[in-house]
Amino acid sequence: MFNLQRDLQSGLGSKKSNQNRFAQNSSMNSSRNLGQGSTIGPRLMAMQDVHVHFDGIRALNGVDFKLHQKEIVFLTGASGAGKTTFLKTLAGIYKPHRGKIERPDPRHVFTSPIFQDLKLFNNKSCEKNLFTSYDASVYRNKKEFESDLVEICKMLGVYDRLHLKIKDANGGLKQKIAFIRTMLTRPDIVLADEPTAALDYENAKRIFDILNLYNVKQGLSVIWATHNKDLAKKFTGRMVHMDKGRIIYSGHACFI
Amino acid sequence: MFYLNLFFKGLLHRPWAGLVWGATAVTILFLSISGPNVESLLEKELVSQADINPYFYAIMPKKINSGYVKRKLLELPGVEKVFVLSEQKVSSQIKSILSQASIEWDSELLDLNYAGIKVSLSPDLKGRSQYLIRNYLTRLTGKNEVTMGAIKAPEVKKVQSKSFYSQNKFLVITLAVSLAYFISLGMIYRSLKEESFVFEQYQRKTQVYLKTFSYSQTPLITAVIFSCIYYKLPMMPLMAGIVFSMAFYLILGEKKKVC
Repeated sequence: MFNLQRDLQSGLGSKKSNQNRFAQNSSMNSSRNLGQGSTIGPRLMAMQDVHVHFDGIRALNGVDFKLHQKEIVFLTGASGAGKTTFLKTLAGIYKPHRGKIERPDPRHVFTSPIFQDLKLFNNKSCEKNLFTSYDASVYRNKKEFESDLVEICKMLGVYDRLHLKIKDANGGLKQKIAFIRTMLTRPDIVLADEPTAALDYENAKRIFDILNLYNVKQGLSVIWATHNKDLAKKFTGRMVHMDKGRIIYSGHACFI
Repeated sequence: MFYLNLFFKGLLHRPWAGLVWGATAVTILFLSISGPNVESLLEKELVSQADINPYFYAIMPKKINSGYVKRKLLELPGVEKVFVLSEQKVSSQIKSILSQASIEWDSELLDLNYAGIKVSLSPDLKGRSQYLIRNYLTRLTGKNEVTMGAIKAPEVKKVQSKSFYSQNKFLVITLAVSLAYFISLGMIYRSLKEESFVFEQYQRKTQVYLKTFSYSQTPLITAVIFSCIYYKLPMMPLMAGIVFSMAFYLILGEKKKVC
């Protein structure tokens, strides 16, 4: 793994050519330039006229969406607009009642979610919760995983609180642990459902910077659902705005 | 190994569910090994060895050390067990003997200051040997100090009950165990599903619930299947119960939405 601390201090500047782990998707869309200044890659996920409803309520109503490699998308919208359903449908947790979803092969492109309700084990310590993401097929050994864990925990200032049980942790710590757990899976796509809702602006910015760094260094794609307009406004990439289960805007943040 | 580890760690986090499942699993394994023979095993357990052997009672004054008498008697071949009786038991025994003998007595005047022992003998002991043991007891305590009852050899009578349980004891046991297994799985499946979901989302693993459930229950179902092949019909209800429980919670777990 690259040195997060050093790279963040050097201002995300050192873009190296990313190894193409998505060879199987090479037949998809060609690369284009958008937002962050980094060249985005081929298409990873797509939704076509997707409808999802619960007990007569239309949560998603004919959604069309595409996500490319190395792309960060901010998903905004009022409460009940369908952001969570959108992410869960994209993750494969909800099945669409109508429409088509194109997902990459999970053996090559791993999608990791950050749930709004975090899905942490309350009776386990923060450290044990993080260890649930240890996958022997991803890391060479446990030491490699632990060094990643220590590095990212120090970055977010939670290293000295890893012994705390989740039930004793505050909302901010829980949210950081959920975020770290996701990043430790070394994902290719992160579907983050309000990952900074319980965090102040500074901490939210730090998490965003880490995601940005992974995006630049490892070609990570992110869909970030948020209410944090301040953070979203500073972002220069693609923004998707939802209302009543529909995408009503998809484009540059400055035009919203 | 990962899936078994996940299952047993999950049980440790839910001690009550773990205890119920563990007890049920041990019972199922025991039933699979013993099969219908468990009925006779249970009957044997109900009748203690002391009740089957011939025995006699002896009473002696309290001043004689009954512990010493017990120790000395146990040294003899043919003496299986010696029980020192409680004071209450001795007095009630004497009273019952007196009432059986139709002797009129005044309870206030009666001196019941006696110690009692019950001597249990080997079942195949000959009359001569029994006489020698009794004679030795007389010499230990003094001829005029001890009073011995006759040697009794109780027959264990089987009381034939006409209840459903007594007639279909094994069937009832297997149905009860199947029900306990169903309940124990019900106590663990929900949290197992939740944990599996998290592992599916954060590790590159699929169908974690199905695999964890299958791997952990395989030893039980294998034991029951082999038992069914060996003991045939009597084990069928147990196998049916376990297969039904497993299928039920597998389908329920797969259908259950965690979020």
